[in-house]
Amino acid sequence: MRLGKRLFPYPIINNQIHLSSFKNSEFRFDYQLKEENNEFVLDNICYYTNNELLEKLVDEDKVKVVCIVECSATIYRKEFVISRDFQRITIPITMLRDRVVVSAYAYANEDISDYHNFDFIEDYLPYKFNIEKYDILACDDGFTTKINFDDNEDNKVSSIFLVIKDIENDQEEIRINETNDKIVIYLPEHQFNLYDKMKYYDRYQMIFFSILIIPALSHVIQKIQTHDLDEIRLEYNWFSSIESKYKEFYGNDINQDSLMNMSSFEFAQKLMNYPVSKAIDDLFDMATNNPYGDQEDE
Amino acid sequence: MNKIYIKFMSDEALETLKTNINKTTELMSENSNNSNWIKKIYSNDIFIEKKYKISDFVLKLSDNNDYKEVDFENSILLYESLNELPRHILTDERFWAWINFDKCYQQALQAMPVNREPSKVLNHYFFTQGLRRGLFFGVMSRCYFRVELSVDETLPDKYELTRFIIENPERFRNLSWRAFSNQKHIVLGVLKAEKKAFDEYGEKFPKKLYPEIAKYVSKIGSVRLIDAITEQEIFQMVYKKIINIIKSNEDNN
Repeated sequence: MRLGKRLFPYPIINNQIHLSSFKNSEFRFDYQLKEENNEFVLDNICYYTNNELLEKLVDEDKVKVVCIVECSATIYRKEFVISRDFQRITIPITMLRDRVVVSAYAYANEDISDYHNFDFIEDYLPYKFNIEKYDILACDDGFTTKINFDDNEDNKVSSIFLVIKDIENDQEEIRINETNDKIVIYLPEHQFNLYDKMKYYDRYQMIFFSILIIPALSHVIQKIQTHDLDEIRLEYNWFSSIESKYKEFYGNDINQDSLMNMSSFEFAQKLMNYPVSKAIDDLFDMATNNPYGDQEDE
Repeated sequence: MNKIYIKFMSDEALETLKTNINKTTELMSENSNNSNWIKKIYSNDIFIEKKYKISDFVLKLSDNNDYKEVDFENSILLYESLNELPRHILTDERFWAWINFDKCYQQALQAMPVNREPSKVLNHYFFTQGLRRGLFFGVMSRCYFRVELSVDETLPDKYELTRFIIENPERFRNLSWRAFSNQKHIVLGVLKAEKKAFDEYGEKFPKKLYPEIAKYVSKIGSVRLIDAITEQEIFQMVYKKIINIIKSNEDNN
């Protein structure tokens, strides 16, 4: 759940200051996000406010503060009452998939008459408000994270690429598309059938990588280079494989600048262990009747 | 009943069927008994066995080719056979592709005839419009979730509301598009209000009221924290709203 820029007919404290109808009041929730023992954990979760009236209303049980965890993909949404003291919220990871939104709200637990606070912004300052039960009084839209848990993979690392037969393509054009889970390469039927017959032969691997995987990977990297890194992480599950390879090569996490400034073609080659150069070697070996390549010389 | 392992349609098979949607539709339209035709498009392993087990089940087919005759009974059986599976399985497109194209292929085709319309296959057999919409559009997944979100153990007949919505899916469909339907107690409160008003007013209950009710509940949630509202409170709000609309319609007539 997210309030975003939603307007209210009375003042609310919003964690985003430009959307708040209070001058100096703050409301937010703090937490440590973890994944432990197949559980999604919000550890040491608590809320913070410096608004004395809100504190008083909470102490009088006229206002409650909750954290809401929502995962649209699995139709999961649950609220957890939180306080100023540290708590631990755990949710089985199997309940969640893809985007998970975590946010916090303070809401009226009963009707509140003549609601007024000296910290209202000027427009509201002259007025008192009748707040109804369940009206939201403060919000922190929190954060969105991504759950990639999949216990169906049986610990096998699945490829981030799919090569698919495109019967309905009557051109000889090869297409590329990036879905949430995979980078998909569509081959015309005839070419797919040839590929399908040859794909398990080691001697052709580097050639297929060079003519299919490298262009596809370069293309999608180039396409997302200018996108927001956090959005890329939320949108594309395959990007985590690229991130971990990046860290393996360079020793540090990929950031917005490094993504934007990289040469997509060169990085794609590095990522796949330079198949283009190796493909030239393999082609030479095939041309000179040495189908087994260097291995036979050793 | 025997226990069987569930299956997923492989990523490659799923993407191949979607990519070649015209061919897929044509072959589905010509083959209502089984899905052996998939091998004509995709030659590798179509379905992959997974580690989770369920009691085997066979859904009914209507002898009159009218799926409504068996919809309620089948939806309950589907729910009772699958409801112990983890949520991430029950919301996975690859799992429902196994149900739609293998386990319940004939029943799916009877429930949602393809009639050579590729858009029907894309929208009702695959999750092409997003995960959540896919679940509530999917020919078999929506049968499962209609039951899951309406079964109420507190009622003498726990499937009373399920029967009510399967009788007229419009009663639930409008709710299912909205995020508040992730909260089951809200769905139950709304359905109970709809049913009480329908039982009381019968023919006077306006057929076009269901989208209005969904909008009204969304409006409640625009300022209030709908998650905190109890089932009984949402029941009262919605029931009052429906009665007001019915009475206002009566006055206008």
